[in-house]
Amino acid sequence: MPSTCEFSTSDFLADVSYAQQIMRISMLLPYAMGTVCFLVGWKLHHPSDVAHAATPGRTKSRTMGPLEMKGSGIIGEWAGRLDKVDDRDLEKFAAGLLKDSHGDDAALWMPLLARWSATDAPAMIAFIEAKTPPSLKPRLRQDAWFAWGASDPEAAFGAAGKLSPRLMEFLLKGVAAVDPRKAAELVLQVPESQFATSGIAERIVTEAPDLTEDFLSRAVYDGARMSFQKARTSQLAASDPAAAIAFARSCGVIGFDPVPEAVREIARLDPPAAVAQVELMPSSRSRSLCAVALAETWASQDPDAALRWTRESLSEPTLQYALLAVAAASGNKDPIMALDLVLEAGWTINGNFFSIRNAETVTPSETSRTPDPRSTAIGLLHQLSRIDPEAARRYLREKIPSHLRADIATATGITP
Amino acid sequence: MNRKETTIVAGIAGLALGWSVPTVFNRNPSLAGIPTEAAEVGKRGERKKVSAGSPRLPDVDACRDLWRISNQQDDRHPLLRRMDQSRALRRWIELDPNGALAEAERNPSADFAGQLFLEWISLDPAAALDALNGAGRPLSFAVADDFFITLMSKDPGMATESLKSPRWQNETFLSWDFKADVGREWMLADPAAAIASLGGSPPENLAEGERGILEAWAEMDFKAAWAHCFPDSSTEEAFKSQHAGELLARGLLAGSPEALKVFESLSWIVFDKHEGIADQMVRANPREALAWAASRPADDLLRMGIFGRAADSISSSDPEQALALLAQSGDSTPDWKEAGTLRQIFAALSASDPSATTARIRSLPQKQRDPAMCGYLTDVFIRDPAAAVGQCRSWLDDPDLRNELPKAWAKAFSWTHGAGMRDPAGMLAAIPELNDAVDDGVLSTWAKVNPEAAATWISERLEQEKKVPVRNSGIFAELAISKPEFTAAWLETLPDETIRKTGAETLAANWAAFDPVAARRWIDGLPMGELRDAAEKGLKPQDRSTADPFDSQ
Repeated sequence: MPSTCEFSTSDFLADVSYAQQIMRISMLLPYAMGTVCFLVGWKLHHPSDVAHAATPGRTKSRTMGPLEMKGSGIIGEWAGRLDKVDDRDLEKFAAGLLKDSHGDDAALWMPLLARWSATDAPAMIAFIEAKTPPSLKPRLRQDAWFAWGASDPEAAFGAAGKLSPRLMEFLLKGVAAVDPRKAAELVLQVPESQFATSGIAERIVTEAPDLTEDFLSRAVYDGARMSFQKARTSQLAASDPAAAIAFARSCGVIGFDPVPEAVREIARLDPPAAVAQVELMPSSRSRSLCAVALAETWASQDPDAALRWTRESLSEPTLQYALLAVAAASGNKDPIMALDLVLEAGWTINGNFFSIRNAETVTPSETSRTPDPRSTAIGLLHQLSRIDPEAARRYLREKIPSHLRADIATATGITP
Repeated sequence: MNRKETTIVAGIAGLALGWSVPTVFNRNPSLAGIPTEAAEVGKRGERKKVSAGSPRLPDVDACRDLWRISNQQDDRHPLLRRMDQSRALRRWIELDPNGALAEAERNPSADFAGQLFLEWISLDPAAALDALNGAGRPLSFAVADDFFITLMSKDPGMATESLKSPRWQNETFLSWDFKADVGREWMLADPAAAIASLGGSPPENLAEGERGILEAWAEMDFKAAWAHCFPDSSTEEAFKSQHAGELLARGLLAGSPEALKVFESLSWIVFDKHEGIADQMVRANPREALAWAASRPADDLLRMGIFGRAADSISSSDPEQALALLAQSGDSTPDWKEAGTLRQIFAALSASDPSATTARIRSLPQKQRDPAMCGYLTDVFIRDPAAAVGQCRSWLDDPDLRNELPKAWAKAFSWTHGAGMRDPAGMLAAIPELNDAVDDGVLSTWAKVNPEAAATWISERLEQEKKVPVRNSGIFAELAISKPEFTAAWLETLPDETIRKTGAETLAANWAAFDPVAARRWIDGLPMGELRDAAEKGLKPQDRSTADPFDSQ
């Protein structure tokens, strides 16, 4: 029997016998089967069928489609696909993304919203309102109004109508991202404008600093000032630590002490500069809070240096709080060493400067962030338990005082 | 190979070819109907490609560079820079998750940390949760709220399970609204599971998470949410729960006919219910609430309540309309709230035209004058202190307004009324009559700005045997935390025994909290007697926070 590779058309036509013809036709079967299977394969994997496989609003499988590649690659891949799409087809493209297993990935919507907001923003908003599932809509709305604000501030603001204050904040952030002065002009026209400034304050302070004073003088409430003050402090911390401290001090202890926040900002960039500022301060509550903030911030970068400074420069109770702060900030590197710092700090702190006695006004917000040995130890034991459960049990059994052991065991879920 | 085998092989090859051809020709199976590159050639014109110039990210340094560059302003749409930030962070996590986590630990409060965890959720929620569970307390504090709200939207099952673990059940740093926000997100992501979780808690005992679920449910389907909460209750009974007003406000804004029916059966209920509903509606969306109110009859209590609350909301952005709304709100706005609104309105009017504003204040009804004057002074003192002094003098000389000025001025110089840090010394020197207007709020503000000057003012007033408002001002605490040595010396000069004792106790309590050695030295140096006893009393712990933290367990 000739093999298929020996078959040729001329051979077939030259042969006249019926039986031979049947025999020769049957030799075409592999070709026919190949063709039919090709068509079946094409049909089964036709784009429209696959696109309908996902159900909007449900958590979808992450194993389908060419976007199944995970991680950073998917974003570049997606941006490349978007580049090939005509402006008139953006809605179709968005509908495809919505049906895709990655339809809930905000990073994939970003290039699409950036472009759609510049070409047909009303259609973009209408699509999101009408077509997106409830689980995705709130975030897409925010990004869409941000995108429109950045693409066309006047048109976006004109279309905002009865936009909720929350979405208006995103629109204004979008405007501020490209034109802080325009954002400053528009924010004065929106409801709750005293507080709507918080989302754009940083951009105004850095890009249109001459407007800052006007906003500060308009402020009738503390909340309208604080975002500008925070942004200004951060700005100064990077350029002039002493000026940052002086500015923070001028903002006053209203609800919280802003000076430790300035020290934190300085320490983030330059711990020795923060040390110099703290050491210039006279003994006060503010100095103690600053020392703890410095120890914590420094410990997250260089625990050994932070610990050395803490032990050499501070006395109780500031020392105790600073040791707890170093422990909490460095526990991810060495939880056992950090737990030892809790023991060094002691289970009873000899004073609490985070709260203020007889203040007669509001409780300072630092109160809720007071480091305490119990919760620090619990957090560190959690960390140790994840790395080495037996070591966590052993630590609880051998180093935590017996009268505290049962309580901490319950809170951590660790059986000693 | 026989024919049968050849046929099978050809079939498999055909199937494989048919399957793969769409991909080979770039027909993206998950993007139905999207034009191919070939079809797009010539249509795109000069539009800049989003993908053009995207750097490769072979290592962590490249990710770090892209993160840094994408945080800098350029001529691209800001969302494209955010897209690059996502790329940088995701690639960083792929290449070196521990390094990325360590970077976040180094600077927990920065955007990097927060965004890193959100990108991590997009990549791999389980790994992201694992990373957060291993993170230190400062980092957890900074990112946990947004992390769980985002995780809830992506994988409600994982979020709810992890929040039940001891690690998060006992966490104290999650924000006040966190549970309600997470509940709301759960309702949006998986309504059936969220509703099933509600159980049968009576409405008055709702947990915060349940409140979030119910509020979102009321926006989606008021009838069902209301029936769940109040299955057999009359409207009157339902409104014994504080949550009834919250649900109704959301139902009304969502345009639910059932909500309107419940509301219309409410007319006999006391007015404070209307005020709460108005507040909820305006807070959710002032303009929607105003539009709803405008459709109601003029004597509708909720309409008037919304007008009053909305006047406050637009007082800075549109003071004229705010005044008009306030006038239409009748008596529905409590006096204290109306005063706050007027203060904002007149601060805004003053910012645009100070002289017209002073003329307008004169024509106001008497009860509105003092908050309006306060608003004017709040603004003008910062912009033009000399003009503020001149106007105060002018008002003091005006028989119609002189009685209103002291109260208005005191509020404009009190941080407790939102005035911020302002030093009254210059104004008091220019207009001595205002010394009698200094109250707790002014003194407390003054002590924050210039403790020594505030203390000296107290001494002078005591010497003149005039009243000093020290009782509720917290001034001794202000002095103790900022200038303890000065305060110690100053206290001993005060002629009033009661004030000295109060001051000594407060000084000792606060000074010892940060410098116990210095505080002890001061007390030991005091002569035996009532002052020393008071200081010793201050050293005794008063609250749990100064005691053993395990006492409360």
